[in-house]
Amino acid sequence: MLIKLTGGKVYDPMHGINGQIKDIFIRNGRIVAEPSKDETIHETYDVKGRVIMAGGIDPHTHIGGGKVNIARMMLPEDHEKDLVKRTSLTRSGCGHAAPSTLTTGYRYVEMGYTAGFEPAMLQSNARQAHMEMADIPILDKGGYVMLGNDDMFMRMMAEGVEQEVMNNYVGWTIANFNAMAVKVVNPGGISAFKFNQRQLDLDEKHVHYQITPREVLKTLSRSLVDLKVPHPLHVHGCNLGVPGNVETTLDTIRGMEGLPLHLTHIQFHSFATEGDKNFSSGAARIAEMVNKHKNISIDVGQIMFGQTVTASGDTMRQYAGHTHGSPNKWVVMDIECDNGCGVVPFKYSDKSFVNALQWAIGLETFLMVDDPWRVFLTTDHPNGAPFTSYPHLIRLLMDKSFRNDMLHTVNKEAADMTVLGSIDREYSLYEIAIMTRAAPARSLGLTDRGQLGVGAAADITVYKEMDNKEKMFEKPEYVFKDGELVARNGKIVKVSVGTTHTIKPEYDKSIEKPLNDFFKKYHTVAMENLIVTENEIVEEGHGSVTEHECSREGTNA
Amino acid sequence: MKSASAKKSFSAVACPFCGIHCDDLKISTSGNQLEVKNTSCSRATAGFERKLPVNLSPQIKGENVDLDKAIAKAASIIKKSGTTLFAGLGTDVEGNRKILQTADKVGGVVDHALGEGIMRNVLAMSDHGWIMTTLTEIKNRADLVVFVGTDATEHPRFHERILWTKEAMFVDPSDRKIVYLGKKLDTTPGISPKRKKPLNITCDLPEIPTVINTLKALIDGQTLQAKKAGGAKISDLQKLADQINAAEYPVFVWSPPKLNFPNAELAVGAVCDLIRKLTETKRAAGFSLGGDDGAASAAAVCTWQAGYPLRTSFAQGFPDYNPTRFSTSKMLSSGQADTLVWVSTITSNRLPPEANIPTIVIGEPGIKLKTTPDIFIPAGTPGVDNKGLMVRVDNVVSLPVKQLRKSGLPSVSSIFDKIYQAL
Repeated sequence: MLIKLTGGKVYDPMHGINGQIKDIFIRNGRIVAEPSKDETIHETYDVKGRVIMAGGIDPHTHIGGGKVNIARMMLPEDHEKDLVKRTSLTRSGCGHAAPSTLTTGYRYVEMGYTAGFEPAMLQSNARQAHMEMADIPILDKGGYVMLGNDDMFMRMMAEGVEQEVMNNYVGWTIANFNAMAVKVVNPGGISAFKFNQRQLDLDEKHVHYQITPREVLKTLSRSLVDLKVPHPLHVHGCNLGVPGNVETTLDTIRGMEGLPLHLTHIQFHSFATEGDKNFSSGAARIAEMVNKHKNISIDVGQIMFGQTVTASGDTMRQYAGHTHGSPNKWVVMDIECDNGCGVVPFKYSDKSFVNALQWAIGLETFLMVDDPWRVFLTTDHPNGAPFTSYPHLIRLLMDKSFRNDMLHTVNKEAADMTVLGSIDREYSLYEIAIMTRAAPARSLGLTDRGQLGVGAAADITVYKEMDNKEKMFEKPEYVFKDGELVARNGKIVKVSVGTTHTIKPEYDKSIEKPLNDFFKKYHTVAMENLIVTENEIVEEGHGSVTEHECSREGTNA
Repeated sequence: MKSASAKKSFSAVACPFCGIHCDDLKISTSGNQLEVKNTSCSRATAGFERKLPVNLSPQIKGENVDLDKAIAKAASIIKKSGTTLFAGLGTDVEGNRKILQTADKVGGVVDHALGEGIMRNVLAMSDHGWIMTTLTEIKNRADLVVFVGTDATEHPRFHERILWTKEAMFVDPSDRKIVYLGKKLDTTPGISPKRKKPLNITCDLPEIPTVINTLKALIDGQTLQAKKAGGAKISDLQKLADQINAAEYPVFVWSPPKLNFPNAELAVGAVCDLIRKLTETKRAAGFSLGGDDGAASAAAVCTWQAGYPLRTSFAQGFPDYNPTRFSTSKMLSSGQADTLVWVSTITSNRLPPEANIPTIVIGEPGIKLKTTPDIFIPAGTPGVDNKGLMVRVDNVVSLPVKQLRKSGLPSVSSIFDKIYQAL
């Protein structure tokens, strides 16, 4: 079957295509070169005047795994406002802050996104994360496995093992839990909290293991470079939410000596302490530092006003933050000598000084980082806001007068303290295509996604161009997933099964012996039963596993 | 048949028969008969070694029929039914996925056989949240374990595998302090390898909230005039308070099915509240036992697919959760359910409740039903007849369970797949 999209304005930053009128041809799920004149075109979509981009890719969204299920179970009152009826095509479910898996898939795709990555997959909960993601229809997915707090890692660090031995452990972990990248959350801090340590600064020692977060960061980042893992170490840094943590974040960047890092939901790590309330924006300093250091990429974790729920591995900071939560109920868990999780509902209010300033800090960051290839569009779903707020966020970035109107409605003191109103920058469609497609794809090593070149997967979104960018990005006219039309005008028209993206770094299997000994002595599950096989991910028609080349060529940093 | 009688052995086998899912079992097979080689756990041996009955045929009103016919009949009953109650749910993750898919399509209601216990936890958690831990953390970190209203003997290997272990990273396991709080508890498994006896504090189970709140006051350094609270001696509670204050990582363990009294979620809530109080200055955590009959799997899958815990109705086309109205007993007593589909493939003889409505049982083939259901479809046990995935009681770890024999019994997921197709 040969499909032609004719006459659209194409935004394909991977190939430098910026709104040129261009036909796109699709065959067997892939984008193909223009066929010869005598070939039959089976379907033609007239998309004259429409904006065409690759399917959106969300590189940081909590869509599967135990903490998300805790959030779902804890918030029946939130679901009630957004119940989703079944149709002849789609299953029932619920949406908003902690949506059901099925609704998650439909809503992402209806919004023109075709891939989402769960950034906090624990070894001990990886099977459940994959099981939940298997029940997310249509969307492609993948997971970042968490390291840097597990006792295996901490012991190896404390023993001072050779970098190569650590690399083998990191490689083993990525391969055996079918991950796409590695994330570290509050490096060493989740472990420290289990020893009743209540804070851990970048150069502060873990009370038991006597190692510092900076050492953890350097070792893990080095491992990923050595293993040629495309995505840099995905870092949820120290001191999340603590006023003054901008210094920690700047210091983190400075101390990496050129090793690549991706600093995630950086808004929560950009707080300074100026002003009467000892709370101010550090965004300008962060942006300046990011602009200077090409080894750094970020995503923002923009907050939006309203009810949501925060779900994080960072037990230390989630526990500390629970006093600001609403409604007043929260979960903290220590998990399997591996990691932890904390789930705290939040209601961000535009009338709150702190929340309004957080909102401004996120936007300042987006607008002051020069290179859209190194700043990805996220709300850290659902921590800053549910992913369904992306179209609104895009409008804030693309439309200065709308942004300034919004600024006038928030807490006055906060509005007075932000430079947001003086920033003229408006993102272009090309830049939006970079930060929501091309850049995350390149950073993750998804060589055939996030772009519209010949040979790429035909994940394609077609928008009606409108002045109101929120409306434009809310309900694309057509969404194709692997060449099939799956959504039309914001409604699912076909339900397919997405793939699970993975990489398989090479490592020395000799690491399995000490690992197996460790499991036998200290764990409650056998190593062979904890790991997640490819087979179990794909069985029973739940999809496929796509292995990407483990190579750092062409990645951002 | 040669292959049927062949002997095989399996190692690192995960056990589906209680919520702990121990995965260190060695099992040998001789044809369809299994033997557990390396543990005397009563639940593992009873489960794995139970004999496969001769008659594995599906039945319609007690008459043998082939599987397709039984499935077609089941589908036609469900199709005609106004509201079908899908209960029991004793199966693995995939079985639950397919049951939910079916319930969603026909507007049914889902609840687990142990739904009453599950809800005690769900209500406590969705009211105030909690601070919890998992088995490997307890094994390596817990220096004090307080059993509240349970002795954990329904999980016969809990003490062996989690408490009296050879090794632990941060404590000497044989020095762990054990405390029991409740009535008629078997405290002998709590005797340490060094023969140190556990502290045993007696109280009636419905008094747990009072006892825990009193304990909280004592931990806080209050002096009480009373000699007893909720039936427990203040002197004993003071001992416990001192132990908790001295501990680095006390863990409070309860088992929802054992807290069988009205408003028991308040007892769970009281324990969680004490843990929250302790966490202000030190570490402490809770741990809930239970999870039998695939309860943890059923609860987890329902929560991710529907967004709500069990006791959810799909009758209005969207998930509608109500922890009392959609309980199995209420659905039957109020006449809301027109058809009962009872799924129980793990524990022997987890019988369906009595119901004067068409009943379809999808069960372990040896299940001793009191009355003949309209349809009986013998199904495989996950981890014995079919492979599958099951969620452990801590709702964090999940495990692969193996197919150990070729009995030919269909899996619950394959049965519901076919029912779904036939609707």
